[in-house]
Amino acid sequence: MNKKDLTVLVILISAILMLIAQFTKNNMLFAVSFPFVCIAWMWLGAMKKDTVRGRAKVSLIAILIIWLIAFVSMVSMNNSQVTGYFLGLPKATAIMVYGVWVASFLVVTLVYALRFDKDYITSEDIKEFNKKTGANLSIEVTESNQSKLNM
Amino acid sequence: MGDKYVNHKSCYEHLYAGCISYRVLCNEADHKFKGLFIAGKKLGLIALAMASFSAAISGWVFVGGPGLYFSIGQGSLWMTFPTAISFAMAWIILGKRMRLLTEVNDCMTAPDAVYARYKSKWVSGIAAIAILVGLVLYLANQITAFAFILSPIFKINFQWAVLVGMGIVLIYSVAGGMLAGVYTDVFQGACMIIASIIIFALCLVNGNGTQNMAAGIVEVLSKDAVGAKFVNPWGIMPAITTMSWFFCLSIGIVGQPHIVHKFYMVKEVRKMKWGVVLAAIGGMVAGLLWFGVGLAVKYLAVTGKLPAEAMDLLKKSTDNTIVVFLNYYTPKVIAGVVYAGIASAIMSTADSFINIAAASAVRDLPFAFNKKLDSKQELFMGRIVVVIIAVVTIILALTLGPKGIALLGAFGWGTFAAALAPAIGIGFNWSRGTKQAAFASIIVGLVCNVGLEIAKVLGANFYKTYFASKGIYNGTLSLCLSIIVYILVSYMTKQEKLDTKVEAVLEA
Repeated sequence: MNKKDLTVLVILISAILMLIAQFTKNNMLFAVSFPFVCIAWMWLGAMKKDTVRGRAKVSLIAILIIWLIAFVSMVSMNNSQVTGYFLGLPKATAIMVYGVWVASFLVVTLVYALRFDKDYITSEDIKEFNKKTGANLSIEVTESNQSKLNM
Repeated sequence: MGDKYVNHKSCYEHLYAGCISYRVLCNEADHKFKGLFIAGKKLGLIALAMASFSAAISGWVFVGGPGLYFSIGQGSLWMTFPTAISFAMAWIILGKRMRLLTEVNDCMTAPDAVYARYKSKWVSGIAAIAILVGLVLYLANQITAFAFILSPIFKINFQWAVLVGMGIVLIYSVAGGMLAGVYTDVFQGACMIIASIIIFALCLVNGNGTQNMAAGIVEVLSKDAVGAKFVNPWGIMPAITTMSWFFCLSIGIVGQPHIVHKFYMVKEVRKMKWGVVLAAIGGMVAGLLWFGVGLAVKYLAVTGKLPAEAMDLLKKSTDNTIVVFLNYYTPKVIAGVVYAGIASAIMSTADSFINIAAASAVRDLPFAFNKKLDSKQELFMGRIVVVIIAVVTIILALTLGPKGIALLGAFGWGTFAAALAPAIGIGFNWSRGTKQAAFASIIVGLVCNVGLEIAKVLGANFYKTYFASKGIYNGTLSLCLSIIVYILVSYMTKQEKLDTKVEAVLEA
């Protein structure tokens, strides 16, 4: 079994746990299983030759940990009271807004753009793809054609 | 009130006329089938980002979102918070592979990609059917949102507004095409981002900050702690329901044909780099409007600060929440721009959906049955199909629309996610996936989601007992089943040898 098969197995097991959580109305089981489906699926997408490269790996592991902590905390908190506020929001809601919403953007979306050429598609990848398929994708984005490509 | 409407109407007309004119100009270069329904590899960074953001949200977020927040509270935001990461999910899981696929295969639609991957006309045909079903639902959602905007501006009832809205979208769609729609998305998306920021600031000013509004709601709605639940993360919904929304609306993006489709249009593979950030920022800013307007109008309503006329509008439908804020708490010019922006965003999104649906009906479905129409036939039949789709959409908008725009949007999204996400999202990253698995997962996802939703609408007893009582969101349940079926059936069936070029796409 290669690493892609293993990742797909993680998706399968987590999806089964999600199904059980829904029919047993188990919030905690759902909160710990659905992040594994999402992150394992992204892991599968980020894989190149059975490995996820450099910072992409760090970024995906980091968001998995953040989501697990955030969702477990929110599920554990008493939803029928507001015990205090953090940056203008009830504490549990602050976890939702800053811990899930904003952190997801910073840790995954922004890192994807910053590490795109190094971790997601490198010049070597394009060369290899061209060689295998006979395609003619340009290898480098030069400064002179960058602005033309922007619009 | 009359003056306000006149001013909104005037701003709306001017801005909207600009969009239409631009679209007519685009149409000159966009009249062949490929341009009309699909568009080629022509999009740069900004166009890709704005088109993805506009296609993913529009009427659902701007009209349905604040209305849902008013009804159920903070938990509604789990439908819009996925935008912070969902575009990255689409880019990471599919972006590179879909774009590379167009280099080795003349893919123009999602069923083309499915065919290239599985080499089965049955699988691409069933994918086309799933797309038609989901797109009509989505379109009904857009037209319902459009009707909510048109109705108070032109003082016509909801039913007439649905008909007028569909008529305008039809003219817009049949006269133009996909590429024109994408370029108007750029202008409309930019308008909505700026307007959303201004509206959010106005919400904070009118409610005296988020903490004051949350505390006010908690204090007034103290019976049974409804206020506290309202402002806490799940709102008044079960936690599992709102987490399910977050799951389906984030990872479910890989099954959305209107997003997958955008990757075919990217001019250069490297241009995907910053597009994801721009699309996510657009989505997050729109989320601020959802949050701000929902919270502010709820606070103003429960503390008795809303005028009686505004309360009447909310009693008719909570989807009037955005209308109330724009009419009573927003400067006229800004309100007019927002109305125009929302209407235009809805229309361009509806236009994209119509064109993709038409492409599925006249190109992908005949292909599945070994038939091929020539270009003239495709164009002619495409326009007839557009009219048929419009009729079905009107029926759905009039029957399901009043039940809630955001929930109707979630139904459309869930249908695509459950039917297509495993076959495309896992299939293009895992060579072990088989055509039998793709076929089974599309059928299971489609039938399960649509079937459960019908049971929900009809109030079936089994649905109430085993699904509604547990807070199950049909889209997530169907997606889980579809994933499980895809993986298990793949292991139970013989692995096929992939075409060398498709294998290169999967390994890139």
